[in-house]
Amino acid sequence: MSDSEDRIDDPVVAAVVAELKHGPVPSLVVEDRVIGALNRDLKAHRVPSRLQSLARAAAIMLLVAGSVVATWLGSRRLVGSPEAIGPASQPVRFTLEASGLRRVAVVGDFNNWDPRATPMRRHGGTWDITLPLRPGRYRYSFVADDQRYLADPGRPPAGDDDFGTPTSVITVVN
Amino acid sequence: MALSSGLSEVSQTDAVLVQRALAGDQAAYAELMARHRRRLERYAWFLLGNREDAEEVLQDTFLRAFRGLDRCQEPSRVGTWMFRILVNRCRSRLAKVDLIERGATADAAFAVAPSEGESERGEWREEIERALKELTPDQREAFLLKHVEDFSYQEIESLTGAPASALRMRVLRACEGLRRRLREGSRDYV
Amino acid sequence: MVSRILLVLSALGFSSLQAQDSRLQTRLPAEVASQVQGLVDSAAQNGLPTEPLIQKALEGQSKGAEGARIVAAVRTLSGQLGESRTALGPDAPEADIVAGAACLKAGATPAMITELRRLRPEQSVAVPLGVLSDLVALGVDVPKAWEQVHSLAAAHGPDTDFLALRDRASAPNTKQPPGPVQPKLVPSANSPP
Repeated sequence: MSDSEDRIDDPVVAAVVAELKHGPVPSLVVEDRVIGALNRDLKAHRVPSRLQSLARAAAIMLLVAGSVVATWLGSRRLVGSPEAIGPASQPVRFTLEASGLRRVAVVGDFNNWDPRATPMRRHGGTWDITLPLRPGRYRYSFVADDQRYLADPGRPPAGDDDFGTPTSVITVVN
Repeated sequence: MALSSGLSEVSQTDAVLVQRALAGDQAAYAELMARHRRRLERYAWFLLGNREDAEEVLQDTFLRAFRGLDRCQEPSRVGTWMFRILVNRCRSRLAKVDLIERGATADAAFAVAPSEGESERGEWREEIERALKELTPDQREAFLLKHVEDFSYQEIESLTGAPASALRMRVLRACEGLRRRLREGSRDYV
Repeated sequence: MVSRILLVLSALGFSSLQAQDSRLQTRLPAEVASQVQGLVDSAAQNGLPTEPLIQKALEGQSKGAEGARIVAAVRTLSGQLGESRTALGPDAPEADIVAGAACLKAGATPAMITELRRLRPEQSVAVPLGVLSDLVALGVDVPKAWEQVHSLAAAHGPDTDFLALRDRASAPNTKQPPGPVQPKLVPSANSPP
C-alpha cells in the first residue's frame, strides 16, 4: 500500500474525514434488547455453560457502557427539552462569548472531561449549551478549538486545578 | 511516562483480554467490548444513516460476537474481527432496506438536540450526512472503511469480498461525489 | 438508569460488581490506569467516594498531563477525601466529603470542617464548604473566608445565602487570580442557579 492511497489531497474531503473521525457520534441504545436476548439464551440453555458468566459480563458491560454514554447522550438530548430532565436534575446553561473560534466544547466532572462529548452551539459570537445536572459541585472548563482550556468568566474559578489549566466551578442546588 | 502507542502492545492487550474472557473473567470481557464500541457505533451510524437500522445491526453484532468469541482465530485482532461481523450485518441490512426512502426520517433521527438556530458546526455536519446518503451504499461503505476507519485496501477486500480495484474506484467516486455535493452546498465551511 | 441496572443485575444473580473502570482502561496508558485503579480500589475499600478520583484522572488525561502527575493528583485527592471524612464523621454524605476535600486543598483546616458539621448537624454542609473553597479561589484569604462562612452557618443561613455570599465576592470589582492569555471574552450575563 502506497502513501498516495492514504493521502487525501482535496480539502473538502479532508474536512469531511476529520469531522467523521473526530466529531460526536450519537450513542446507540441497544442494551435492553441485547440483555433481553442474552437472558433468553440463558433461560433456554442455549449458551454453553462456560459462556454463561460471559452473558452476565456482557450485560454488565453494556449497562456500564450505557450509563457512561447515557451521560453524553443525555447532555445532547436534553438541550431545550425540560420535560426530559430527571426529577433531581436542574437545567444549567453554559455560555461563552468569544470570537474567532471554530469549535468550543465544555468538559468537566459531568461528562468525564471528554472534549468530544458536549460541543457547544454557536449563535453569532456566543457559544452555549444547556445540560441537566444533579445537585452537586462540578469543576469544568471550556475547550477552544480542541486545544486551549478556558475558564468560564461568568463563574468562580476552581482554585484546585492540579494540571495548570484554567478551571471553573459550578454548584447546583435543589 | 510514555503513552503506549504501539499497535503490537494494544493487540497483545486485546489478546490477553480475550483469553481472560473465555476463561470467565467478566471484567475482561466488559472492557473488551467497551474498548471497541465507539468505533462500531461510528461506522454503523454513518453507513446506515438512521438510528433504527444502526441500533439493529449493532445489537446483532454484539450478540454474534459474544456467542462466537471462541471462534475468533486472532484474539490480538479481536477488534477487526468484531468489525468484520459488523460490516456483514450492515451489508445484510442494506440489502433489505431502501435507505433512500428513510432519508427524511433519518434527518429527524439524528437531530438529537432540537434546533434553536443551529451552529455552523451543526449545519456542516448535516451537510456531510446528506452528502453521504447521496453516495451509493458501496461507495459509502468503501469510503468509510478506507478513510474513516483507516483499513488498507487489502483489509477491505477481506472484509467485503470486493476486489481492490473495484474498491479504489468506489472510494474515488465517493470523494468526487462528496466534493461536488459539498462545494455546491456552501463555500463557507472550508 | 441506576435502579434498572440493579434490577437487571439482581435478575442475573449478580450481587456485587467489581470491575475495572472501563473509562480508565480506555483513556489512560495501561501503567497509569493500573495505578489509578489501585487508588480507586483502595478508596472504595475504605468507604470513600471513588467517582471524584476517576474524574480527576480523566481530567488529567484530557489536559494532556504526564502519567506521574495524574497519579500524584489522584493520590493527593484520595488522601484529602480521607481527611475530610475523618473531620466530618463516618456517616457523612458523599457530597460533603468531596466538598470537604476541596476545602482542605484550598487551605482550610479539618477543624473548620468539623465546626461546620457541628453547626449544621441535620443538613448537608456541601454548599458552605464549597463556598469556602470558592472564596479562597476568588482571592479572599482563608481566615477572612472562614469568618464569613462561619458567621452565616452560625446564623443558620440556607444554602442560597452562602451562594449569594460567593456571588458578591465574585462581582467584577473583586480581585481574581490571574489566568493565562485568553481570546477576547465578554463576561457572561448568565448567573448561577
